[in-house]
Amino acid sequence: MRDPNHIRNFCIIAHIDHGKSTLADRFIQMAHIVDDRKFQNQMLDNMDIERERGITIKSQAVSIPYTASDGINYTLNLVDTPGHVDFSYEVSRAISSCEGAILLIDASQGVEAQTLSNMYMALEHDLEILPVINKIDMPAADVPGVRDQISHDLGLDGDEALAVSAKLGTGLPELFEALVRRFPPPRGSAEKPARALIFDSRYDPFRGVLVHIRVVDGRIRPGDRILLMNTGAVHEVEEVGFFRIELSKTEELAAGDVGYVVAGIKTVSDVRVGDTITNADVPAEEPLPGFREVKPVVFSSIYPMDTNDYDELKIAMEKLKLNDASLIYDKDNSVALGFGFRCGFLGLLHLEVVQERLEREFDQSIIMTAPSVRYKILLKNGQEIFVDNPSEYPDPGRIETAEEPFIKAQIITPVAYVGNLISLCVQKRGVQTSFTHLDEKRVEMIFEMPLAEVLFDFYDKLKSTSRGYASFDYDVIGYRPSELVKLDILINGKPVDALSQLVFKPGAYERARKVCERLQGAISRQQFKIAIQGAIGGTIIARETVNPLRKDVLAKCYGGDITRKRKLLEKQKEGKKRMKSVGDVDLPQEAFLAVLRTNEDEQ
Amino acid sequence: MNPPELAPHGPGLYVHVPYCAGKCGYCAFHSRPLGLCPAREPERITEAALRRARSLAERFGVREFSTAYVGGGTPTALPSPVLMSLLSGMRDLAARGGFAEWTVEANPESLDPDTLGILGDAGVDRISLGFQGGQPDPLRRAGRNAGVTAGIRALETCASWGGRLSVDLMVGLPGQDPRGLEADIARAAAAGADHLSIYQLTVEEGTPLETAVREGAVRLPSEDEEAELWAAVREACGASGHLRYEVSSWARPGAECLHNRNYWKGGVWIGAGPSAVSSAPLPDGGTLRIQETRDHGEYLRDPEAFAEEERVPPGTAAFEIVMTAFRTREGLDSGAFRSRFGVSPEDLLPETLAKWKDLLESGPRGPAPSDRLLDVLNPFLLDCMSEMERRAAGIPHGPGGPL
Repeated sequence: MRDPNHIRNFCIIAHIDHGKSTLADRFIQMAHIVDDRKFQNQMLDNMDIERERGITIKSQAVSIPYTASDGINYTLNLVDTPGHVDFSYEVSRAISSCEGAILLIDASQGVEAQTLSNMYMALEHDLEILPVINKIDMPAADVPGVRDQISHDLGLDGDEALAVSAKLGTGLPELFEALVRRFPPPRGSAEKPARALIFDSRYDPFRGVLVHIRVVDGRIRPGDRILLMNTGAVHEVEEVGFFRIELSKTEELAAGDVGYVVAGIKTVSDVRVGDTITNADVPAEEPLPGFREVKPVVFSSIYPMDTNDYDELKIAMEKLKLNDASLIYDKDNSVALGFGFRCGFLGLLHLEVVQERLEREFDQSIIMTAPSVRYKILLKNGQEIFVDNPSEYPDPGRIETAEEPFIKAQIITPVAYVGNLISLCVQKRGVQTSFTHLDEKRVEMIFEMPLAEVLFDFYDKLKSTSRGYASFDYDVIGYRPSELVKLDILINGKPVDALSQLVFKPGAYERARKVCERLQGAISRQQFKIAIQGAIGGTIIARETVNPLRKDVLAKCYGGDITRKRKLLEKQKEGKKRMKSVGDVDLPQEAFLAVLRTNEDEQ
Repeated sequence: MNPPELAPHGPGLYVHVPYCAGKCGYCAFHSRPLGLCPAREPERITEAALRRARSLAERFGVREFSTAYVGGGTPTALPSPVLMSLLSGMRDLAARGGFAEWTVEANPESLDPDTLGILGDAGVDRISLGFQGGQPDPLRRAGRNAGVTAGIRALETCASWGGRLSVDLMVGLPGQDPRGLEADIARAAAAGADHLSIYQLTVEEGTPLETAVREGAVRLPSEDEEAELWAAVREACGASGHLRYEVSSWARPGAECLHNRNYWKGGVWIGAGPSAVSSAPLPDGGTLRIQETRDHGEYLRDPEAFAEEERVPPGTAAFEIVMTAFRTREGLDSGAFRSRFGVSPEDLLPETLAKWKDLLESGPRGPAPSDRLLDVLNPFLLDCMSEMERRAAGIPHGPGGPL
């Protein structure tokens, strides 16, 4: 029987790239729960995309045995949280399953936007916060400076912050001891009716869905009938266990434990992160607080490159959905691209992750249409509708007013870039609501701005404008009035529905011009002239032309090289497979991307 | 306007002479500098080629050839006695009354009145002169060995030649001048050329020219500059009365190359000599294609053993016929196509023919390309390839049957 007093549940919170995954790796290595030879960097980041991009998309957890200097064996449960604003609700659930948080700060970067927002989140959940300065081995490390920032910006005691190098292992033994000493043991009682917080779930092809939980009260055992309190679903527990890199089966999970439950659940969509598991026969009175439905904020359609591959794409989407509860999709169809799916995402990163997983894990060749936010439209007949798909945009004559989602954007930047960043935000229709000097070098600015403006290239521009020093975080704050028009793109006079987008009216001309320009660059010459036009209603507002191909023929064909000439054509044909025929015009995949990245060549 | 109808000719005999005075920087054909070869090797290679030609003729069931072509390399670079015995051996394979057309390729440097005499005496009636152009700098930059003076002198020499003359010219040389190109065409016409092979300089993999272009040492003409060059070709050929009857071939009416036409129609031909290719239709509609080894030692030991045989399946063979036939203004022979593949091109390519109808004409025996289509043939052929793959369920794409 584990004594809850010897359990410590904690997470690591940090701004992206401050070394969270490296520190997690060190914990795992030092605990010797995985064979050194089987060790791979970023153990907890299972997906290729996570490793490549250095970000964590799914929450993961691991139990680490640790014998402290007091001679007692402790169980340290590390809950690794996703590291991106798109997944901030998941982060909040993971945080609320812990009692302590390591707030990791890069010794040369200092406190950044996500450091602050994550710390606020941890404070909201009454976590004990242990500031840790990482990467002290870097030449640009400024440990005393970061201690000052911790005291000044975060209101914590900078002198108490530990200084470590996760990469080299420096300071880690002290960190282990501090975890045990500083973080409180879990509260809650094993004798009360069961209550466990779901902080993530994962699909396992052999066992079905593994539900990741933190048990707050009571016990959960195989054979128990469990109730998911917010969805009302009842399941029977088949197996419970701990995360030890591999899954480690056990007889029960009790108050204070972090582990998994297998209960015959078929897909992750049947499980809501943030929901409370209780015993269906002896239920708790109240679920744990903080549950909410996560709603997608970015929408785009996915089509197979080759319309014949729709069924294959459908299977891939279903499989992807097994493991990604945040992905929402519905059947969609386009005149230009045939059958596909309208999808909702938590943010642009989530969209990119889905795109990459479809292409890499499922080998699908796909086209994604321009991402859109969900607009709120009040019709003249008093009806209120939500529109995220340009094809469903009502006739302008029927529209009374339109509203679009706004965000509160928090930017932390060195003073030198303030001017440029304000221009950028103003250009993106941002309104500044706060300006605070964090210290003599850094400033925190809050803007309210439309989410749609952040979708396209805001993050890239923020980084390039500030040479990578500014950091950014946001929350959706609600709908604000907007002026909306539907921008159509015509190829040789025919509107291509998949290229349409809903845009802010005063910016429509500029957007149309850029999209046409980029399409011109992306479409290769064909045997006839191609006209590319941007239009609002019936009015053409931008135009570009692709001139016809002058010459495309293989020179001189004699008797000896018929095979070679044929093979050259076969090779060309392979290249053409990556094209989408719209009418008589072949559009490369990049043409659809061109609509997304309208400002890349501006700088 | 369509060129006059020509009677079909074939089978064709091709002999590859794998020697040159020196290798040009853009050339990817198989040839070796004559000076680097062991003594008597050319003689032994040409003898082996003749033996091989006879054995292939037997295998293909060909008793006599109606056209012949000696290419290379540079056949006229061969020592005179070797050239003479090669030609005499070939003559034995001709139909009664000789070849209907017998072409020998010549390089300016090795074309003198004596060589012309040898060719004429042997019965050769057509010379294909690798002139390539009269602008020294562009030629040199592309890696051409022969000087311009030799080319001009060779054209003058040919003026005394009693037979037919074809002249090769390249378009797209670095720094090439359109007016100079017009002058080259006029010069060739003045020397009596009834046929012009005018082709785009192609940067072939593994050639010194490829390296030079990649490293930026040589800049090829831009698309606009190239368009000007081709406009000059149209202008000059119009003036000299040469009509374009194939992507890279212009001729005065009646002077089209019969030997090449047999290739483009998918006929029977035998290619002897290192690297040469032989080809014949198989009973199932596919094509048997035999590629000779490039290795001279192997060729001397046992050309049969070192040759590579490919059985092109009927579906692929059908596309190859479409590919080569649409290179010619004459176009496809629908009847011949149907009797070989069991389906007419009109039934196999309805969508492509409809989509491209503005650039198609009706030829003497089936659909044919307009002059404009010859310039943008690749996208048309890609459409053909896709549609044929979709529809050619009746034509097997699997391995071909036995000959």
